[in-house]
Amino acid sequence: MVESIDITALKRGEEKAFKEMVDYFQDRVFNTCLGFVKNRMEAEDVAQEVFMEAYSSVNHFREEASFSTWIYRIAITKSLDYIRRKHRKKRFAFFQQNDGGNDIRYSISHTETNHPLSQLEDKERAEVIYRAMKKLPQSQRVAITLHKIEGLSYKEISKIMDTSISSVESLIHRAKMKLKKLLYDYYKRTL
Amino acid sequence: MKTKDKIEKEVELTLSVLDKVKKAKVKPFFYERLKARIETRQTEQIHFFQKLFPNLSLGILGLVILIALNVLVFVHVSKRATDVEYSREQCLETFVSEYGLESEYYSD
Repeated sequence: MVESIDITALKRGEEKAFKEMVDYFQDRVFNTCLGFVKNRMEAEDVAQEVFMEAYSSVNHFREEASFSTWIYRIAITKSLDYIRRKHRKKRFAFFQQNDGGNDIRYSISHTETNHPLSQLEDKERAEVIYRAMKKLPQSQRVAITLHKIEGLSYKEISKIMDTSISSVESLIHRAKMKLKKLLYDYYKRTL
Repeated sequence: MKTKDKIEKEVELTLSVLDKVKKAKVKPFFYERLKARIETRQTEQIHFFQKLFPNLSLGILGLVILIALNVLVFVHVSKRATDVEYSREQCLETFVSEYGLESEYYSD
């Protein structure tokens, strides 16, 4: 991750530096958020929150990690917060009573509009995998999203998740296994 | 057995979707929208403080007047308390001399 962010200027609150930083990271942050949230509109909303957080707390950035690692951490935290908030709201919603719980087949009818996965030729498969990814444990989901959607290396993911490379390898391996099982169960019921 | 193979094939095909994901790009003018949102939030924060303290200098002036009034009341009350004590002693002495109650039993 090569970056040319003027941290000192950012800490001084210079708008030019902030704009440069946003221009440099906007697509990466947006893609990371898209890995977790439902559609482009929500992802942009979360991405804006990420930059707002970076803007207000850049003075707390101690430069122990690289700036991109710091930004990715904010992006993940904000995305997961967003999902949690949404879940909380949903829990009280009336229509949720008939949602299929952990069964991915009940969710597929809700089209994931504009999601990069759904822009693929095979939209149905994309929706199936997206829904299956939502069922993964949080750490596995973060690791596989950063690896597959954002295309980060194991080393970069280990820095963002503050863990070892072997742990990342293990998380991604377990995520793939779990995905396989979820997909197997799904196709067993539907085929 | 045939179904199992079919399921496994479907699983593999679905998993391979993850390797074909294209990077998405933000819509144009992302920075402008972000800047507008930051400015709105800042304005909201200023309005919140303005609602909490509509006029800060007036508040400080009010506080100074309140403290000054408290000091005045305290000084006045403590002075009055000393005066009351003095007059009580005087009254007692007058009472004793008027009724001739001065005797050796009462003197030191």
